[in-house]
Amino acid sequence: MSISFRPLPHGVTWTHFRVVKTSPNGDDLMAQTGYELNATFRYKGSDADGYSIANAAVTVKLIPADTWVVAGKKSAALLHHEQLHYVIATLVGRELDDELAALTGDSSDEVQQAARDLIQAKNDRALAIGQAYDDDTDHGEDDAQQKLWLNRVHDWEHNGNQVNWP
Amino acid sequence: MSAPPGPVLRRAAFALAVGLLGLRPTAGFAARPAPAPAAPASPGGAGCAHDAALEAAVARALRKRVRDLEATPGARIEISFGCPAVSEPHHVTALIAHGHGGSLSMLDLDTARESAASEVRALRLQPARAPELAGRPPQITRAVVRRPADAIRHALAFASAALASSIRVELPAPVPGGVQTIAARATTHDEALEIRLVGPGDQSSFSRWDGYVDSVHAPARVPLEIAWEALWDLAGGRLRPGLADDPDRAAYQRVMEDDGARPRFVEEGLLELGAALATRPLVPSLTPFLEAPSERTRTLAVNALATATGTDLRRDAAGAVRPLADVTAAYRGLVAQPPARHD
Repeated sequence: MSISFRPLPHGVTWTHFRVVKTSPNGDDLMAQTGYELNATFRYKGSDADGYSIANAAVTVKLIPADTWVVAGKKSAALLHHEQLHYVIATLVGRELDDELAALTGDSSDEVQQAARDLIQAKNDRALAIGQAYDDDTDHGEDDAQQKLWLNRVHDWEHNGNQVNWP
Repeated sequence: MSAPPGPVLRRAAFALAVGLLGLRPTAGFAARPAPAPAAPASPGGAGCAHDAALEAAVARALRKRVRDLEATPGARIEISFGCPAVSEPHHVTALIAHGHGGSLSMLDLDTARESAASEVRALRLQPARAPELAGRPPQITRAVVRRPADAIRHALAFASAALASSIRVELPAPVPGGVQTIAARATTHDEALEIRLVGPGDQSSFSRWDGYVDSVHAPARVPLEIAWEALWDLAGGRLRPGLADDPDRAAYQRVMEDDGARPRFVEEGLLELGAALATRPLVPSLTPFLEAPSERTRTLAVNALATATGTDLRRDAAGAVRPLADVTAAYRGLVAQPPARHD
């Protein structure tokens, strides 16, 4: 059980964003952050004793191809908004790391499916929190709500990285 | 847009609903895509002719889009095709919207007109950063183009095949003692897509997806994206600033009358369009947004209601803009009045 971050949770800067002339999505987005929850592990066990996971290693990383900002749109507020999306992903990545090693099954197929389900559930959890964050802050346009969310996430971090979310 | 605000504005992001309406048997499902979404059922249980060349082209487009975000090493993308929910669509109403300062685009395609070429109608809204009561009208670009029947037929067939597709992402088989990597990739790009197809008789289908662009939900999202792009290519490149006309309003009404929860950025985009396109039949759909928690949403709802009702209560007798609370109260009162008799 180990976790690594690339970059560190609070290490996202504009240098991680490639500058594009217009949104690659063909829309009017100003910036996008792409990240990955990645779990590498070994299948351990036998048909007689059942299977589990060993040597689990979780990585949360930014994806350069999916992380960009439109030229002329950089602002401190926009960066702070995008940064917090990544911090939320790293916190959920910690949950994945905590829970992955406990998975078991009667076969390696079962363990694989359980691991896949868990990773997908954590992906959904990070996005669900991100949606509430986007809704509340109007995608970062509401400064007061942005500050509230910053404090909320900092509280989670200072409380043993426990995400207090339904 | 009959769902009132409230929980709708904070609901989970992911939804997919595909259904056959009218007299046909329901083939709808509401599910997450992985691991194996069922292929859409054929209309009435009957088979359909498959165009191998068309499906191969659609599969290439689907596969590339899914592959672009898939993060698990060695994952295989399996694509199959069911029968289109609407065998020969003649009317399409569709939209795409993006959060994070993005736009909202609508498309209406009608092949049932008597003219030789079909009419494609496209509208795009660039949402205001800070909408104002009685402010400037929404920034809309639009296009109404007539396209040859062949181009329309191909786009409809391509879109229908994409919507009839099923995508599975298969992981490499696990090896006891072996090492495996499984990954999910996500972005902060939130997107919403809706496509309604209408065909002969009572055939119709409605497909919807919203959420963040990610690998996990790609099998549900990508077919709609590919279908949308095939249709939007018919007219989307010809947008110019312009004034809305009655067919624009009719298309807007069709979109607004669709049931179901929408993300806040879609609701607000549609409300903003309402300042140019809302019509009186939409007043019941617009009124609940007067109670939205967001001042921005309430402002947009008031502007839409001013257009829909034809009664502008946003200014006082001296022409000054009234406080939002007063204006929302005034519209609550206005819409609560029984309709005037015309006999």
